[in-house]
Amino acid sequence: MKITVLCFAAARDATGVATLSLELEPGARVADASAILVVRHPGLAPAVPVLRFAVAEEFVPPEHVLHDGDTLALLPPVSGG
Amino acid sequence: MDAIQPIETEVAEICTAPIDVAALQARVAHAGAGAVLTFVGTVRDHKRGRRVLRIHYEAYESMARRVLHRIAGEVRREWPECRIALVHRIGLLEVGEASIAIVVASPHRVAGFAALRAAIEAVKRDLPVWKREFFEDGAVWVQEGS
Repeated sequence: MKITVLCFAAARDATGVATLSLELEPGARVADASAILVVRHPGLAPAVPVLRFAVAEEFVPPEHVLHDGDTLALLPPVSGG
Repeated sequence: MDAIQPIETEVAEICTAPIDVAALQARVAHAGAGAVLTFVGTVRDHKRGRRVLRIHYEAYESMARRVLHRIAGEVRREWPECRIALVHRIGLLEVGEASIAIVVASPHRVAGFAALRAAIEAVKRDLPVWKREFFEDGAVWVQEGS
């Protein structure tokens, strides 16, 4: 299956792109996607422990199961306000 | 103001133009609200002794709108007597410019202060917005709440 990954702020600096697409095994979880991304983009490694994730614009935990066509967002610690 | 605007119970927006705080107050203030409380967050000129020149705010815009609406809804559920407006500005802001404004219109001050505090803390915790601070010698993503 294929998902779209959105990278924001420091996560975008680490991957070098704002959007990328990722092939995953069916049943893959957010944590699996994150692990694959770290292998491809080692610069992400320091950010991963503090990253939050969103699917379809809602926060999800790392164990959330992904589906074909999902949009996963990598959210570094927020600093709005 | 040219025309009389309808009073709104909830305003939740991401914008790029300067925030008009008085206009925002007018959108939720009403005759039954004896307390109109406003929080304005601005770009500070220093960070740990270093001079900040400007800040670039980036958002996951569609999600940020959703989160602002969620926060407004949560505040309204806990304090149904309060009306609330939340606006966050994104883009490049200079020192002194407002990045966020929250207005709560409440019949009484106690509920108003509580609702306002809850709203800004929820924004700090969950709103997908990131600031990149520009100093005289470079720029960094802010990685902690501040």
